[in-house]
Amino acid sequence: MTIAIEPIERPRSVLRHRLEPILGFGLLLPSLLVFLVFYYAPAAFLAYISFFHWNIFTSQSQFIGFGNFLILFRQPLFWQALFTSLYFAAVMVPAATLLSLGLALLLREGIRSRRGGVLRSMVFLPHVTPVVATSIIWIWLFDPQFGLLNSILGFFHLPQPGWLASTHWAMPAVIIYSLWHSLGLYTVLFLGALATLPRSVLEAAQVDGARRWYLFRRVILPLVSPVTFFVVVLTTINTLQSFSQIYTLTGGPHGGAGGPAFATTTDSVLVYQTAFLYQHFSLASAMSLMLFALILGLALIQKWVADRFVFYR
Amino acid sequence: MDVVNFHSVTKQYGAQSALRGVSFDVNQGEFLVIVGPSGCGKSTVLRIIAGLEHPTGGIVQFGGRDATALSPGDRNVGMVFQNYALYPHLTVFENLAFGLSAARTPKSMVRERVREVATLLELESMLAKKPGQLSGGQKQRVALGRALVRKPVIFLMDEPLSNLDAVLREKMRMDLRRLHEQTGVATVYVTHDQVEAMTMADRILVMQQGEIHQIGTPDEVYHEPETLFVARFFGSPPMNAINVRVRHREGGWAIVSPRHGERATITHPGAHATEWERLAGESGYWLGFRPEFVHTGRGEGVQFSVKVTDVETLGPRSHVHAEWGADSLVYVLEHGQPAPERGASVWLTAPFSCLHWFDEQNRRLRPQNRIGHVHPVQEAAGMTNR
Repeated sequence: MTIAIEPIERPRSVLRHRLEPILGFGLLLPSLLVFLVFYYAPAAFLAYISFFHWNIFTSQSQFIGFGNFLILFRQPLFWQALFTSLYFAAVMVPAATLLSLGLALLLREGIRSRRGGVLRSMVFLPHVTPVVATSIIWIWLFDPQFGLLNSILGFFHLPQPGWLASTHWAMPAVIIYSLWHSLGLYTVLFLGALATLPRSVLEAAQVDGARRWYLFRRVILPLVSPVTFFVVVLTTINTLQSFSQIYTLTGGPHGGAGGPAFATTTDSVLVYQTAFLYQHFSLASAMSLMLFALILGLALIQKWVADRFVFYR
Repeated sequence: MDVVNFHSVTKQYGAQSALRGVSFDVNQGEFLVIVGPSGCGKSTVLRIIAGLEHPTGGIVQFGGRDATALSPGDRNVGMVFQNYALYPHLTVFENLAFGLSAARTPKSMVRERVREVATLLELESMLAKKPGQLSGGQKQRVALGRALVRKPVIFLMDEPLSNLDAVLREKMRMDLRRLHEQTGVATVYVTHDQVEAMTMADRILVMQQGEIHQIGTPDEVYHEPETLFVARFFGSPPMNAINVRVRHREGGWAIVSPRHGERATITHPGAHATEWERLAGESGYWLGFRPEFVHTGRGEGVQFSVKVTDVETLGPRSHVHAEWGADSLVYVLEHGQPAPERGASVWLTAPFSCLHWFDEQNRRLRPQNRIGHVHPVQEAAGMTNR
């Protein structure tokens, strides 16, 4: 029986062996094309035009080497935007990580109860709302005179900042909104990590006499460190790229985005304005490349740190 | 002073009763094994001692003082979990030192204590390794060391050997016993394995469905089981148990199955006339006798005529399965004894000294009568007439 099968099996398997990679690429092709056309090609084109004095309306493009980058370095607004972006990220990353971990620890208590499910949904809900729509609502909440926020602060006789109208408070307002919108996602990530902690290990620590803080510091924190690392990287990238909420909160449709007085002009806002308001596409491209390099650099530093402190089970 | 006392401890999980009034003591320095089928509540007992669960009712005492509400860390217990539960991100040294550091023990003392325990358990060479790099047996020793390092008042072990292979399990059984003798710390050991219970325990506590059936030495639970459940839980193959009545029969007594009407002959019934008289009547009993004490042929005792259905050869001995009416019986043949053919009719004799009588509630008949089981030690000491 085996003798009869072998001569038939062999050519078929050889054919299959040759066809399989072709089939594989064939199946990959549609999504690869989408990525190529809408993602990689524009990115490559962007990198290409950042070395030109490039005009979208005429074909009079001129190669200027690192000229665009030199213009940027001499441009104070570029440095200011860079600083604003880093300020945004420097507050967002620790705040989002700590708050979501804290929320997850609180929610974990009720993770199996029905109320726990409702609470979890409530925390996650802001993340699934559209940024522009909720930003418009938050403009009202932030309103210095009639906003809910200042009414509450006034009720407790606390100072009432000008929020989006103030150069000092516009960025904190953007941060508050961004935290509100993104915490749900990070909290759910941490909840997942906490749920997979081995129960007997936590119990062993309890038997060993570990109190709450010791248990958290020596057992829980190291065991959720892969998710912490992921959240830190994700927050960094999301923050440095965020645009919609800044654009909407600071009056984008009316031309004032990034204000007041460039207080909320982050790199991404500046890229948008340079490209679509002032039509300096090649300059904006150069700026995007710089932003990309910044994010990549930060991610690499984070990875370097993570390799030393993250424990993978 | 006892190490731990349980006073009518109950535990409810919703409508489910895990423990139904459990009372027992753990004596100083003893090795107490809690044994029973899965779901009998034995792990719940252990977790209540550890403080990981709180009882619904009753009192738990540590050293004579009420500890019912004490948190796990305040009880000073050492616990070994079934899956070891080592801290995967910490080295062996840090795993061992964890409890001491949590108690803010000075560093030099931590080092000294960890070295001591590591030497005792032969862990010196792996102190810098992480649990992921250790074999099952090594993890087991680290888990033991972690329990040992804080000098606990009691050791709690939850099926610690169930994740090891058979050879290692046998070795660890002896190692654990030896360790117990070295440290002298009272140990409560939970297992579902009757062999572990028999070989390791000073005393065995047998549980079923949240209730204690018996607490006694391995000898006692084997030779004087308090209930039919205990009788059948220990021993392999388990004790034969048949539902019978004792009937008058031409000047003597006979054993009759009310289920299928088969009769078993009693030799010299006159010898224990008063006992047989007491058993005779309409009430049913469970008659138990261990397969290893039965012999073939017609001898002194209760004689059954059975039909052989199957013979299992195990090497040093064989198990013969037979039918007495509709009841299945098992008996053991030692190596060298001729095995019967399948379908053969054979006479079996269960000697009087190996008979166990249980009432219909499955409890042992008291006082033990002379036609029931006689403890070999007591028999030798001439204490048969209790």
